[in-house]
Amino acid sequence: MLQLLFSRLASAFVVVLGVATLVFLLIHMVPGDPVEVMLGESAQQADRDALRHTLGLDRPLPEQLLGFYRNLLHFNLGTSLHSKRPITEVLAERLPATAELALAGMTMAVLLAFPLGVLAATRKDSAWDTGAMTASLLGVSIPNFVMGPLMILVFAVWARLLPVSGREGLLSLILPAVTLGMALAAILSRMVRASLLEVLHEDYIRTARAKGLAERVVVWRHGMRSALLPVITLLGLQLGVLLAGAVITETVFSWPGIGLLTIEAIQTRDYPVVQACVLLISTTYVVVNTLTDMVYTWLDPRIRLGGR
Amino acid sequence: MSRILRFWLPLTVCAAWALFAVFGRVLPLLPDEVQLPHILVGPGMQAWLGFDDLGRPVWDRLVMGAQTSFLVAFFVITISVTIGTSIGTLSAWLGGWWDLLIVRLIDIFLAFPGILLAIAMAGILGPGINNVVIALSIVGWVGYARLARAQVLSIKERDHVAAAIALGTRPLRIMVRHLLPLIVAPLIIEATFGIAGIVIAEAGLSYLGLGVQPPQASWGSMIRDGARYMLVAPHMVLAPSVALMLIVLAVNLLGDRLRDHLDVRSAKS
Repeated sequence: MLQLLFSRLASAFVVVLGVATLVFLLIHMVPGDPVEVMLGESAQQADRDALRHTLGLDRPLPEQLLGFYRNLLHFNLGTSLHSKRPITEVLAERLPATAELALAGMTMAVLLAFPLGVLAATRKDSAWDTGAMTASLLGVSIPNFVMGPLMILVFAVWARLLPVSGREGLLSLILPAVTLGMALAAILSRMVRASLLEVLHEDYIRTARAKGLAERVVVWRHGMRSALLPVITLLGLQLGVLLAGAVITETVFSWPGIGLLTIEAIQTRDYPVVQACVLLISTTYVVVNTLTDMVYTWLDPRIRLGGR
Repeated sequence: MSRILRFWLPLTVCAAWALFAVFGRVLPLLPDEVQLPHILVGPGMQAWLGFDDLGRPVWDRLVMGAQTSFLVAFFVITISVTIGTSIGTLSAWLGGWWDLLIVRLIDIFLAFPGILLAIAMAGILGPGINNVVIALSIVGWVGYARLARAQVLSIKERDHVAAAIALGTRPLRIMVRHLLPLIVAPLIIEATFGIAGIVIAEAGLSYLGLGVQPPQASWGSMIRDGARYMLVAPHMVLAPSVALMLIVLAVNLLGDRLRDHLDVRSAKS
């Protein structure tokens, strides 16, 4: 078990290192000169050289990469070209908003997907099932940037129930969270349905029914316990999609998180900030995936007790 | 009834998308013509989908957007499937260090949420349809590489491959003639669902202002522009939204259908 834990951690570390390298290389090897793009064509040669020196772009690539690693170890992500502040500071400022949104979106998705999936599975092929699965197909097919404006139109502009955008108070969280959670809810409800359907045919479910347990207990306590494993894995894997979706959702609702920061940084050509944002989101994703993997291992008695 | 809903209707939608994309240029459309008296006018006699904030006919721009999304989807799928399949097949065939290296690379690419990497790449490359294709292909090849590798690994020990090796067939020929035909079905299914993802991703990039540039039309940028006039001219945001959802829904339904149809092995065993 401990050996498994270490090998997972080691491989997660390798992936994070690879992610950092890839982000660095992609940003540095893009055709065209970032300095040129940042300063415009009419810039003076002296200004270009100065900026190139500040960014360390005048040094050879391997040296730059080593410097990048060294700084990463010290949690030094460089300085924002736009606001001239340390990037770690900027990120720390924006992180709570994104964490809040992602958490709310995920909660939303789980609250919606579980009842829907269970309903569809226990009444397979009924109108409920068809309805729930159609809703979920629609949910997957409607992108954030379509859902968001529509929600604003209905709930903020017409009904005047919720604020249009921004981050002020709990009410302003509702629309972005629903928009972000919708696609996840759709995928999740399908998974709950499929994995519950698989489990409900097992012998021990028949036993539970035979000993006269209420259907509710059979489904939620006996069925869901086994059906939960693949669902949890999916939830972990989907967090990355959720975080990436946050980039668009935050833009739609002017939600001041990491996603909006990424877009602002792209618009102001603030490459060090773009690099840091991508790195932060991807690293979070890798860490969560590794944790999910571990939780999965721990939850599944076949893996926990089997093997050695 | 359900056959019509699940197959013929989506097929018609996709065919219409492709036809408008390919033949849109020869249609008498004026997607760039500004008609000042018609600014924000809703659907009516002059234009059945109304006009946008610059007085351009929304239908004509919608057709132009279909061209954008179809072109991007076509090129990204072609590039990603070709590169991904080649890398995956080679990796599984060669094995050893090469395989280890490529698996690591795939792991690292998969550690990014796909659209995030595409957003960053498109942002750094700068806007334009070519850069959208490049950005989405950089992200796209990985899935096909992983799939092709897994498939080849599962069949490369089969007797007919051993026979081909024994006969002295060259590796490239083995890969193309003896491995590829057996792994093509799952790749086609994956690619079909991939189209839906790319259509959404292209529109997403354009929504963020990282896709095609005006006056070129994309459904994503139409949605972004339309959102500003939602109160006075809801048709501006509704038309591209509905078009986008229709295509994605149709492609997904066709993908489901194709999977049921092509997945012969699971039906047999």
